[in-house]
Amino acid sequence: MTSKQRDALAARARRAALIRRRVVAATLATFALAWGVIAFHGAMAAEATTTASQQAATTGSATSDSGTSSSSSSDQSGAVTTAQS
Amino acid sequence: MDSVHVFWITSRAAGVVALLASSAAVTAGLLMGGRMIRGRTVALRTAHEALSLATIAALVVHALALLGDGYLSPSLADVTIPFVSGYQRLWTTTGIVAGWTLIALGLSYYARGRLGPARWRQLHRFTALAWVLGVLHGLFEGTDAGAAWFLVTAAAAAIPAAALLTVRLAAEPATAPQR
Repeated sequence: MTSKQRDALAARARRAALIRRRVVAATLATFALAWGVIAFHGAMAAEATTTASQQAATTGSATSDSGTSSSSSSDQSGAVTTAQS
Repeated sequence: MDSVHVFWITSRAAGVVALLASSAAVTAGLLMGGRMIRGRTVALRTAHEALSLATIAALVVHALALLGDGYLSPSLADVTIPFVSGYQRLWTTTGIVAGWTLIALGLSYYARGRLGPARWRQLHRFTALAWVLGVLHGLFEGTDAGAAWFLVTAAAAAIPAAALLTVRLAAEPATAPQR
């Protein structure tokens, strides 16, 4: 193997390593960003539900308030979202 | 924020990453296989492999993080064996089948010497089917499926892959070897 071929192989390996590092960095950044967005939206949803419940309680209609009805939705995923986020 | 939320959010975020990484991996694979980008085969192959491994890692986190969720409290069997979980059984099963298929087909790359290149190539085509199942799982069961940010992000990643897959499938009968 000539030194020129060795250099070409080394350059290719360096490019491959750079691509791998970029993919790892992009994956971790996407995970962190998604985590933040989900946590933020979750916090907002929980706040909205709490506010709705408080408003319903103050108007004296706690037994049939919208906060309660949204939490006991027949849609299972909706129930989980409301309860957990 | 208590630990229940941490596990739940971690699983959802890992699911989003798995969807985006698998879509990018499928896009890179189809570009490579279709010889649509010339002179970049090594870069595409490296990116395809790295994205596939990132998908596998995200899938593992997506499933295992659910085990810590105190609200659903799924068992290991619930998140790894099809039809065991009672929670949205059809779409959970779709996700489990897609996950195992993506993991098995992704790791089969490292056993292609034993499988034989032709057999491995045939098996590898099922990756696209597993990816479609994964997208359906995300759209129909994902907690964030109704959120605009999720739909826009998922569409940006999945539409190019779906378009390339459609082009490949449409071109296939014409390029099939004649007997």
